[in-house]
Amino acid sequence: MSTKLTTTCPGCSCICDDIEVSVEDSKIKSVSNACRKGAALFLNAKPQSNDGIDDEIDEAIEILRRAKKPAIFGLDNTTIEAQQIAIEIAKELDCLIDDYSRILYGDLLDLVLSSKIPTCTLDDVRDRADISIFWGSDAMNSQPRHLSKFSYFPRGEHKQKGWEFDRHAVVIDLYRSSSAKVCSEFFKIDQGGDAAFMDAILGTLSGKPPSSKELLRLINEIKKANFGVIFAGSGLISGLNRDTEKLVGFMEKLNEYSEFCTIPMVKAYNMRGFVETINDSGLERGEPFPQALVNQDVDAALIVGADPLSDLPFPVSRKLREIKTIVIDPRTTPTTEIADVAIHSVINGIFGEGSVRRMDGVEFKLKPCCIAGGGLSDEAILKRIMEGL
Amino acid sequence: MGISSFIQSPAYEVMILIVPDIFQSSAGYAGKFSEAYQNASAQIYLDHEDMKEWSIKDGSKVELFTDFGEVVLTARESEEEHRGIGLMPPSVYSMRILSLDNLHPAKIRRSKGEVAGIREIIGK
Ligand code: SF4
Repeated sequence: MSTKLTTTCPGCSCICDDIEVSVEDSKIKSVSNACRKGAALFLNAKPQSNDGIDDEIDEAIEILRRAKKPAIFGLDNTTIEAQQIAIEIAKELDCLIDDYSRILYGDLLDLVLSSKIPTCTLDDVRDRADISIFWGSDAMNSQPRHLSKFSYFPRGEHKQKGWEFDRHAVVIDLYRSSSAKVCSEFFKIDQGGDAAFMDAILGTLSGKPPSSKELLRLINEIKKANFGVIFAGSGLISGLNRDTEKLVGFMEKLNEYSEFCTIPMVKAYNMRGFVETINDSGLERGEPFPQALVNQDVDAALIVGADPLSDLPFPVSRKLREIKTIVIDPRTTPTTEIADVAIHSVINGIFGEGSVRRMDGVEFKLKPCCIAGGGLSDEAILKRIMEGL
Repeated sequence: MGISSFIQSPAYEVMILIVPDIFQSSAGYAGKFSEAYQNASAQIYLDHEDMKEWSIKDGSKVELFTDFGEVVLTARESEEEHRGIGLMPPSVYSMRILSLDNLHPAKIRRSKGEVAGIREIIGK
């Protein structure tokens, strides 16, 4: 007999909590409301077994004990509870701990958390935003339900007419992305042209003649807006050459015309959670992990919920083969394949539970929708490693 | 064996931009060693005019190379105009040739090679 449940998706930083699944014999048979990515996550979820897990954990402890320069990396795709234990391990080992946030977004998340850049929640966006600007971010491919749940299509408390009349959505990017195809307006900029485009916006707002009809239209929309949001992606940060002060200044000036906020368009489902958790812990992260690898400042890496072989350039990831590597991940990935120890954990939100923060910092609980049977969560594995150390 | 098999196709400069692709990331949940994920990863989207100029056909094989390495990929014609830029999703294929910068200069040429499997690329 199948059971129908409403659950929360850990497929991206939208953390959709309206996913309906039908479960039969601990297997997900059907999924509704999810995007293609979320549906694939649920329908391909497999339980883990406990076979060999004690030996793998012992081996991981042994590697970390023997290491002179250990490091912990990843952690954007796991729960806050697991992140907290990883931070405890980092304190115990006195080692660097890092995620992808600095690599992809520089210090953007810190600027948002310290209120140097004003921010808001996605619920504010749905209820009030007149204009959404996707800058160097492609929601349609990375956070697929973002436009339909929050930023463009939905009716909100003060936005009853939705995208047809009430909202304006703009994409600024190096190429016409899938998001650009569905939004009202697209501005193609050259690599590194982000700062100049910011200047062009501010110049036209202050009365200088616009360089194009399209820019004039954008300026009119900005002037008309009571509330606007910039969804800042990694493309913006690299286009600014990581000079996020430029964005701070731009936001200050923009707020002289109307209320504007920024939400970092992080991709991993709990990157925001990691940055908040590590900031709260007061622990310094140390050298960025890719740099530490290249500089041979790491002799053993504990990688949690990440696949650097698939998303870090080869000159960096090849260094992982020269050191001892432990990977905790629910799935088999190129990085688990080259690891000295690969420990397969259960998938959070399907077989495991924990807290996560959506891209705007709002906390959600992931609850299991299937009976795990075997396997341990990232949190339980890290706890055992911590105890062993 | 004809002399043509010893002559390499001309190489052209292209900037590689790593972009997300929902089809590739969804296929990743079915397994990062699955055929679907491999096919979605080992491709490069090129501008229509560039493809015409470089005599590269949609679905044909190309070799992409930088100082860091080379990979054989399937060329796909992009629906959008992005002259001089090749779009690739993040995977072991794109990472194999990248430096640490964001837009990565590379060279591309027609290839008679075969796309290597992910295990082959990672040496496993
Ligand atoms: S948008 Fe993200 S969280 Fe929502 S269903 Fe898709 S993958 Fe899951």
